[in-house]
Amino acid sequence: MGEYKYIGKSVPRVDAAEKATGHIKYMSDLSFPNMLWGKIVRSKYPHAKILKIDTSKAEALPGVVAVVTWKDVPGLNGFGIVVPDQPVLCEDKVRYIGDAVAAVAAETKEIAEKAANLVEVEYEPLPLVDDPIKAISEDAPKVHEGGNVHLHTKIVRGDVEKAFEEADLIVEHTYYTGRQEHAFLETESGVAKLEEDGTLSVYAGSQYPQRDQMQLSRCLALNPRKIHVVSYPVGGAFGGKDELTIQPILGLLALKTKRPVKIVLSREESIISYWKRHPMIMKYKTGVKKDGTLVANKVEIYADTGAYASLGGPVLNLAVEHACGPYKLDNVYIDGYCVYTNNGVAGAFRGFGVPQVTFAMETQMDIIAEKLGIDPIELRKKNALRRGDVSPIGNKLTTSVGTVAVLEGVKETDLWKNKDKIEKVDKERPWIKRGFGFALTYQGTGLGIGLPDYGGAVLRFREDGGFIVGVGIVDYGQGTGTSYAQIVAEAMKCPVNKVSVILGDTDLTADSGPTSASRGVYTGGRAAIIASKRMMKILKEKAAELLSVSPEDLEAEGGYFYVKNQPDVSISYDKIAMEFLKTSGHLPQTEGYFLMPIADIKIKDAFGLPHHIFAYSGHLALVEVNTLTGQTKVLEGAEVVDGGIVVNRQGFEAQVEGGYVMGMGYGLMEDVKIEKGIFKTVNFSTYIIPTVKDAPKRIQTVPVHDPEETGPYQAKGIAETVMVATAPAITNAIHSATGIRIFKIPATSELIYNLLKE
Amino acid sequence: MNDFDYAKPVTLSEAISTYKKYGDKARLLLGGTDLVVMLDDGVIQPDIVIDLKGIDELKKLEFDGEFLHIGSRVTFNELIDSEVVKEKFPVLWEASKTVASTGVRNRATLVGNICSAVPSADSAPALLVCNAAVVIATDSGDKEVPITEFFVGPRRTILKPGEIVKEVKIRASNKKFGGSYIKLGRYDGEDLAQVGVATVVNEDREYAIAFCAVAPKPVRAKEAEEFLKGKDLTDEVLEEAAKLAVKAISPISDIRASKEYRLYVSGVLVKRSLKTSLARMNGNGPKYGERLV
Repeated sequence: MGEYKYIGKSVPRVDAAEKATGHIKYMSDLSFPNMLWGKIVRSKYPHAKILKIDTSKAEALPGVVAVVTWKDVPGLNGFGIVVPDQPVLCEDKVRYIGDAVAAVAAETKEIAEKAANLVEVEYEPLPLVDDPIKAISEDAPKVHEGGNVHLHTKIVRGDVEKAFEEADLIVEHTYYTGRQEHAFLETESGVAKLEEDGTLSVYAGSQYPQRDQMQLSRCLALNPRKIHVVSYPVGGAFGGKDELTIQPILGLLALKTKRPVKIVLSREESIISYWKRHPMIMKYKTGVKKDGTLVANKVEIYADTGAYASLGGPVLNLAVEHACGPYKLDNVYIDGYCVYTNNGVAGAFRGFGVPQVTFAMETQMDIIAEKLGIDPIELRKKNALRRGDVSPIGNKLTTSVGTVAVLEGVKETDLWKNKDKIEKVDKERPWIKRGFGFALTYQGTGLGIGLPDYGGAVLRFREDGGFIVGVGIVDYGQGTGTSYAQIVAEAMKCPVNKVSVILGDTDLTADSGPTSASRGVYTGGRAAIIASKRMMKILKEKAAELLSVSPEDLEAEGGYFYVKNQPDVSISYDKIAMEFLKTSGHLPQTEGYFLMPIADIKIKDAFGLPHHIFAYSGHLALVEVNTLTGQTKVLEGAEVVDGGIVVNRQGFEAQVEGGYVMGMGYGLMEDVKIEKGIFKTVNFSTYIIPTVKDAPKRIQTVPVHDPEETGPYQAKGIAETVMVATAPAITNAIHSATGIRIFKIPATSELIYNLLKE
Repeated sequence: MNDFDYAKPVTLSEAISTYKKYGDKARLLLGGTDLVVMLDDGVIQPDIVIDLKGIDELKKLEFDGEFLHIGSRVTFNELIDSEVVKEKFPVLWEASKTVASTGVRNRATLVGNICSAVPSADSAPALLVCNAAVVIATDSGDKEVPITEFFVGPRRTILKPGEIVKEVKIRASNKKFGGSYIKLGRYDGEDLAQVGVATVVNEDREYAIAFCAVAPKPVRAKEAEEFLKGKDLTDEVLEEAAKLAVKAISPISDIRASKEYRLYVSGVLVKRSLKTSLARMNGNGPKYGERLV
């Protein structure tokens, strides 16, 4: 580790200055001459037949330039990363309250809004499907003709029933989780613009420009080469901009009006219309021996995916894969259903199905530790998967497994060391009870098996001797761009400030797959190293030629090549750049591509499973519970994270802290309430997320690692795991404070009051 | 948002005459932290918005030795920054600190808060326990109304078109007293109250109790006050007082809390508030502004 010059250091974000000064232009800031404003007409019913759409009054309004309906969709009237079952504009049926039915482009935002209200849609309401378990039954009303079960995944290993007979203790509970909103700062917004050569430019923050391009070409019946997608910079995403949102409608309006069209969603429209974290109902039955050895786990999962597929299927499969936690279990029965309902739409969200099952499994583990009188760390250590073990779903773990490193690291945190000194009951305020909680988790990196999963980077030599690295991955706040700059600087032996980064542009960057699944640093980083090695070879040869030595005699450092043992015989990168221009008229460019390594086997009937590389983390919480009001305050938190070697130390800290607070919101307060298909929490007055006042005073962040040789400088990825186990760490702490068990999150004051009353 | 006219009069009489002319098609603007949100959402669609921020006399914040005068342009942060408010009207000071966030308090006014008359108005319980009066300017001169009569229902006050609140007036207590305001929200961030309770006790063992967010309008708990009169706060007395106090409220279930939780926690908070007020009067309670639950 010590030999790295830039990897592992604290490097300020490459975009820090332009963000701090407000100079950066997000897509919602863009403006073009002659630009129109778009407004989407959305369904007034959660489930209804469309009898008639009349746009005549809207069209007649002065200032309205175009009104589009399903009739105007030139290509496939459907999008969806896995199954394109979501209409761009609904034709005969609406399936949730935010479904798009028509859209308007007008000279001003106000006229567009007025016109949208003038679009008359006649509906015939259909019976509502709002309970994911009832929705499974044969006689339930159907959201889609093919039935309400979007995906059923079942994995059986060993014999759980026999193992339960041999267990000394069986713990059986049902768990419920809330519908979390991504709450990114920038709502779904952007501009589409038809260029003079017929290219459609789409500027809209998203997580995968090349896939947006593919989906848009399908909907708009345009050659993908005629679509230019710019998806960066983005004001936050967290999975909520993985799928298309407003882009196809923007495209339709721009094609029809031949003018730039802009849409900026209000917070209310954003919350109603697009993706949420899947609420899940999870039935757990876990069998364990007296000594703490887990022997069997039977799990049923019901995931409410709402009206359309999007990534609901893969989310369910990740929940299934991670349902047993990072523990050795030879007898498992995991039965998962991803179910259509009329409850909005659910899709990708940081953690991708894993926060739900982790809440359940880590509560099970806490109950087992308590009932058997075993230290919670020791119980986990006893069962923890290690490198070479077979996972609960049956694949051999041949890559880095950080369970033991994490558990050992946990013991070194201040919270763990001081946990026995906690004043359990406040002396001055005896109704205040304090407790400590812990939870462990892991998270697959990458897309799993069976999906094309690759990284790509293009590297250009600059005339000043610096480099430009172009990666399709998007930095929506997590700091990936800065990591790429550090990785290229390390590989090219030049200062970080000599590397500029281009992200998320179909014309300027290499396709590196989606910015999801904690894969950004791994894929783009590794591709950048490959491109750098090629670049280094080219530059070294040129330098050798110029210095009249052999390339083997050269070393690179700080933007110079010099002859080994003769540091005064050297040449700078900018001189080499000049020589290239003088002699050939161009500067070299290299590319790097690679395929993600995959597991040794495919899990039968479970698309995408298993993953091959995982990040691991242990989450700790010290809470105080007001037993009079039920309020919980997280006083202090800590996380021990194995995401491989840390690339940017300050980025690591920020991401861990952010993840912790997001996980805290998930555990204590966040839930988009939908009653009878209607949203009840559509803005930040009613839907609350933690503020700086709610965040713990301190979150200790501890990196540990079990080296992952395949990663760029042995990095893996931390984006998701850092939020995943915070909720159960907190609910386990609430138990330790009060004796009550939380089986449902968010654990609001009122929920805790009701449990205390019992 | 619909189009509307905008007027910024510089005298109160000018404002009143414009207001009279437009009647209920006009809306008054002070800080705008409620009004602009409602305009933006299209909940209200006035023909004209009359901005009162051009009228100098409404900026008054002064203590004349007997009364505190809070002009309608005075913001919550101006109240919080005022030494006399902190010293002589500490319950109002404490309540002001719980209103929304610093950014909102820089603009939001106390008078705007009571004129919006949402059931959860944080300033209302403090004004109720301080027996504040509302001074209303009309085209036939000023009139004074006790705060207890000001609220009519959710988002409704006794004000009629053409009537403009000029100031809120509070008499300083000449007795030794202690008070407190406790706001319970779903979290520590900016939220409307699930329950808000203000209490005051003085050296003659006279008590005042008021709630917000648990009835169609902010209310006093008169029955509990009568019961408490002259009594010391023993555990039994507190229990009984809490029982009587919650008889004055009629909470609803909404996204922030259920009716049942509000009823329960109102009882808890009224006891906490009374104990704190007494301790403060006796000089041994937590400082004003400190977290009380």
